[in-house]
Amino acid sequence: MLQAKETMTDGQYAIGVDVGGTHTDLIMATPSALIRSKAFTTHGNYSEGILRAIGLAAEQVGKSTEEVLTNCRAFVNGSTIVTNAITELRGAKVGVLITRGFKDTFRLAGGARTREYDDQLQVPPPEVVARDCIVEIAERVDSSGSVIVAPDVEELRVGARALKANGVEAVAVCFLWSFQNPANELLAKEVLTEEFPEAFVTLSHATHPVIGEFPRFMTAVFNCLSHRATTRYIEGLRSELGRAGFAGAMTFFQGIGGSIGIDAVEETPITLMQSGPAGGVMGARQIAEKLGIRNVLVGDMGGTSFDTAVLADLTPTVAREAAFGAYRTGINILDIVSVGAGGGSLAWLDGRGVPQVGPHSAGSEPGPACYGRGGTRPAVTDANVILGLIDPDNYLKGAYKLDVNAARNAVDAEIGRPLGWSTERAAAAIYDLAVIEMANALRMVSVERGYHPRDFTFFSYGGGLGLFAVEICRRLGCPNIIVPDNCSAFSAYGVLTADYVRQYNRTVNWALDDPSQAGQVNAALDEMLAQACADALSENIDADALEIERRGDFRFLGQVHEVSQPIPDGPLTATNASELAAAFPAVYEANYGEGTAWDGSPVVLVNISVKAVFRREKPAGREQEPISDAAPPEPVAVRRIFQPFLREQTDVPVYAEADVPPGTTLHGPCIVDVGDTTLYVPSGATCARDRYFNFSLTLNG
Amino acid sequence: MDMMTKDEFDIIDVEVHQKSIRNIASEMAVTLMRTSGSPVVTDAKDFSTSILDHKVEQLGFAGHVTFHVSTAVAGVEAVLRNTRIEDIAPGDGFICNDPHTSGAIHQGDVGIVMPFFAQGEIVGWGYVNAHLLDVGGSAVSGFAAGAFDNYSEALAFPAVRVIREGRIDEQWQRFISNNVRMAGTVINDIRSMIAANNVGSRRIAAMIDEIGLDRFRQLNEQGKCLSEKAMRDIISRLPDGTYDSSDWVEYDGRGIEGLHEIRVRLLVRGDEMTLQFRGGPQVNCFINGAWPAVVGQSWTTILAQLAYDIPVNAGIWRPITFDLGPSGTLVNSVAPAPVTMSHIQTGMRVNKLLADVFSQACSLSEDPVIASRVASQSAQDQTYFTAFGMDRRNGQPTVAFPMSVGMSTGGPAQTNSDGMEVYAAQCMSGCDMPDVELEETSQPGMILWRRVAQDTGGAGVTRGGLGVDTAMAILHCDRMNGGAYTNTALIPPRGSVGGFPGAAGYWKQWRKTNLVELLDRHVFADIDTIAGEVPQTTATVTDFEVVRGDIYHVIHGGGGGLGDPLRRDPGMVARDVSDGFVSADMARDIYGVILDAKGAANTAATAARRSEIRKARIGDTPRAAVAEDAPLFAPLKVDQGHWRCTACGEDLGRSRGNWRDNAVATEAEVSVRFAALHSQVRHRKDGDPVMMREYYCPGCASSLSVDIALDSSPPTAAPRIGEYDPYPDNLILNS
Repeated sequence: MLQAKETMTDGQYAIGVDVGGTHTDLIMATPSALIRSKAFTTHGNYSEGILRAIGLAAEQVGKSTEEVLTNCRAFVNGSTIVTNAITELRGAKVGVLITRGFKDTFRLAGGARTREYDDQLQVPPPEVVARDCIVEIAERVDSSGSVIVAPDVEELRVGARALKANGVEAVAVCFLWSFQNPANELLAKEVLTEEFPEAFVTLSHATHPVIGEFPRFMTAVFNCLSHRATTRYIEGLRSELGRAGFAGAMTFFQGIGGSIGIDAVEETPITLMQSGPAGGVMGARQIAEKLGIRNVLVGDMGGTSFDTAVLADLTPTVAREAAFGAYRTGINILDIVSVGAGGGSLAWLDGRGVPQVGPHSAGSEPGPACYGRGGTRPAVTDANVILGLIDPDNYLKGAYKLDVNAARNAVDAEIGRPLGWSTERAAAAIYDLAVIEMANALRMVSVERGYHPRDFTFFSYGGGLGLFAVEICRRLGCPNIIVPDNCSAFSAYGVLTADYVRQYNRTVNWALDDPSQAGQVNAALDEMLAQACADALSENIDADALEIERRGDFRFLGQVHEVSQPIPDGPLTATNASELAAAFPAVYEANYGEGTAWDGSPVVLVNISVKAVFRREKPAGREQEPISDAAPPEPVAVRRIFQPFLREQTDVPVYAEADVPPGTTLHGPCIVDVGDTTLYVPSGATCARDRYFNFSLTLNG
Repeated sequence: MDMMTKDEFDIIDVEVHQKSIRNIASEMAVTLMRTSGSPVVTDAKDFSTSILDHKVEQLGFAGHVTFHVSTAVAGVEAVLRNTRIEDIAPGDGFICNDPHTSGAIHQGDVGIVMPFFAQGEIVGWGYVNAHLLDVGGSAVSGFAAGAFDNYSEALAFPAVRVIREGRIDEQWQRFISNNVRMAGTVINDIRSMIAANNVGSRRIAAMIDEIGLDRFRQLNEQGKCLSEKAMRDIISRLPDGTYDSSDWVEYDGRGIEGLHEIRVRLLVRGDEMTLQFRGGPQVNCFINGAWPAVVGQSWTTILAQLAYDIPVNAGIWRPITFDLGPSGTLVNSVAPAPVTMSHIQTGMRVNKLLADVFSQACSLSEDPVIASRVASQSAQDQTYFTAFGMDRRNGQPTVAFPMSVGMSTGGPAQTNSDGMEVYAAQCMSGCDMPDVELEETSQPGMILWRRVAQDTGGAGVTRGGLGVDTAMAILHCDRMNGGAYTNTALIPPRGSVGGFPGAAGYWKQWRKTNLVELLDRHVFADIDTIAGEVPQTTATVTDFEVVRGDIYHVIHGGGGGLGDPLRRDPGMVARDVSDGFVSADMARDIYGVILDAKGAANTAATAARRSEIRKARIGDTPRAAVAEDAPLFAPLKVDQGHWRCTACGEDLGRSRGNWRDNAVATEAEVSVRFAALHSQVRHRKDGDPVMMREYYCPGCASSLSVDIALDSSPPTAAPRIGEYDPYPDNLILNS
């Protein structure tokens, strides 16, 4: 579908949204401030919730929705639509043309055995393409890229018609070795264009030109699956925002971090996978850069899960070939580890009588027991209410009144009574276990990748994490915590401040001891660069303004997994090759220990990637010169809480966020009420507010 | 040791500690996987990592391959038998790959043991095990199908030090490089195992720095207690009693179709259980089991079926006794018994035996969770080949060991689901099937197809997982030599609680084919265009030879079914037919489902067909109907001292006797019966025939059990609830 090019306007507003499963968060940049708002997500017609959030933000600056949108220069979308389509396997009806002999590829799923020992979990994966929508084509390319059998055009026609007759909306063309020689897939595309022009078509070599057919095919299939939801989302939003006067640039935030335009999204909607959580990671990066912090651990606690990622030297790690359930793909997204420890995660006793938290969640219906909507099983939020960390009368600015007794009953029944513990001790145990789950997830992204948390600053955001951040960091030995301004809508902030980012990958398999292949690799690099420039231009970005990063995946000949390294600029030469090969063993041993490099094995450059980044201007948040020697504010209340770490009841002051200007330092134990979220500063921790209104928490000793 | 005082924060500290140990073991596994160059490790996940304490008790285990629960302990014990602990320094590493002396499963699975030091003493051990691409000897990767004794099988290291200061000893490296095929890959995998142990060593040392050695040890002990308690709790929910099962290990590599019986007896008493294994005298081919394989594979099934959510540590060993009977038998062999298929032949029979006895016990349990753990036998079919030759493209030596071919077997039917495809073997948790493009990169040939094999899954309320039909053509070598293997050609996997057996796997070699010509002429090569000769061979071929253009073609077996197939939802059967997983013939003849023109189940015709099948089962119109709420996965119960059919209440005799004596029994040679049921198993030409024995309720004609046994075997024993009747210690079965 052809799109009219977005026209850039000089409007004074820019808007970022994060359309999540429950809430649509919004951050709007005005010339002087960042405004945040929140509305319920409206599944079915997302524009509705988005417009409501815009309306709430407009109200705060005394404007109408139309006034804001007419003066809006950029609208950036972070959205869960593709994540939902893929995790729920609900989307466009997908058809597949596949090499004859291999129609069962999706059923076999590259082997769906999981690591769990439980045989009842070793079951066939859910169906992702209906079996009557998979058509085999007699075609074959071999491992050297030679066409052994070209597809018969008539067979392709029959296949295309069959898919059309079955009501397919999108077709993935999945031929073996197509990344080596795309001729057969291209021929299929030609026939599809003639026979079935209305179908959305994805060629496996086009979305992921990398060896390994299962992840490549799955990428194409998931791209097709995501197509309908994305198209509807875009069409709905364009027309409704357009009707309200929006004429700015609409872009979309990708799971790799960074945004792209509508044309690119319509071609490869799959890049929106994990769009929202990636927004938070990139937002943390922005703030950290501003604060001069180089090493960052991020944590985002929502209702059902806790997401975490690491940025060493401000560089997020990337999960290559991300898997969704049994399905491995070729998608590169920010490496975000998710564990089932959110506010709604349920506590239970396992077969050994040991309390556990998650991964099952009370969800939003019935929700934690304290919501009073019929939930009877204890959730993490129930424990927080019992401990006094959440004010039951003032939850989410008083939007809900929480039922403390329901929380106590649920905790008693599931944990307290079976173990003979008091309600508070049981609640403290639930709190602790949530802390442990989150700390373990943070260990996974830090310690297990060779980083020590003590060298990192923890960025804590999302509605519920302020109650846990200090205790998590106590377990990790990570002394510094930032709770950024706007932490409750932080992913939207990250989405709004996103740069333009596109990444291109290619398999080259260059054994570095053979300089004769350099030409081929350089040709591939040139093609990828040209593509990067053309794509940027189509979004009105000048090629000269692009930052280009070139990386290579290296391994010793015979290995299967690679170690990623930057590759030098300019055409690669034999000298480059021998330098890269000579440097590789040290890089490798830094990862895996001395004596482990494969002495004597040639080094292979397996894949090359080109990442093109255009740095967009960042909206300024609020800023205020810190007051030196600020007097401690007056608490708005004193509350009795049970401090989980100390296992004791304490009366603690509660401060209102507005009473804590930059320059103020608070000493734990205390609680800071931020309206849509709460900070718990335990004994032994201090909480200062910096010039950008971020809270900076420090664990003493 | 005593349970600690029940302070809640201790329990949680223990849990945190347990998770940390497990994380470290997992990190060791990730390191191995990331650094290895062998698809055996990276895709098939044929490796494991363990952490043990100074007492050589398990602390944590990150199996992919679960049978290494046993080899980790045995490997470190072997190190300490051979080397004084004072003589072991940081960075030392020992190699263990001999079932007879260093606790290995088979010679191809190489364990590297390294000490973990902290505060100047040995505080624990790392054990990393990986299946190496080769270990020398008469066949690739140690699968010495023709060997008569262990000396002619492969190199076998009795826990010797070959690593010092974290580096492979140069002299030894030279020796090993001169004795294995693909020396580079083998040496590099050993380096990867060192890297994995390095990670474990660093992490454990850091942990002890943080919490202190005393606390580390205290938490370890408490963790073992928690796992022990959980294991005891599970056992106590199995009905006390004596449960029996038999299976037969196959070998026809010398032209005689040998079937060697092995038996298990499960004795449950309170919160403890004993597993007694007995077999005939050890034999002179590579199928013998030894302690590591028999005990290790026992752990595989215990973990998969019963103890799936208990942290693996020494605690789970405490309530279980393994009794392997006299030494020198098939289940407890000693040198010079050849053992390179120990884990696959005798070992994978152990999985089938235990699936059977555990399912018998589970089906009689009143605990709903335990009752739901009934499962059929998985295919456990390892039909594959290995071969060695020279790559015609570069003149370099190359090995064929296509992992995707070996692992594409059907899984066991579960009470919650049909079995899965590409289940591989039960012990191979987390294994992936290598992509065609990766196989065509590392293997000297081309994968021609990879299809689900229709009708291979055993029929039942839930169906066994299906096998895969796949073929690889040899293209890049003019000639390759090696071995071809099948372990379940004659004895198919059984169903459970009235479910039917799955198909057995088989293979064929297409010779003198037109394949190269087809490729040259740009004609698509598929089953309908390939021509060639398919000679009859034994299931195991000791002198396997392939030449360029030959095709290795395998149709893998499926898992057994669970429950009476006449009670499978007709809609699911119709779906299976339209998906191509089950033929309309099998739907009609085993499931009793008749499809209409659109492929949906015809309700009236199906009901009529199912009545017809019931009548045929017992030779008469059933006098009782199946109760609507009759349990699907527990056809029998003991009620007031009698066996009863749970579908109609029929009395099947005193519970001290065998209910089979009072059931309607039909018996036929298994390959004949399978042909009528549209399934497949090899016909045994010589010796005692293999029989399929079906037992039906005389009242309602429900399927109670479908047994597989030799013609001369007595009827399969029934459980004896409340009885504790161990085998004699000195029992040796007839050969």
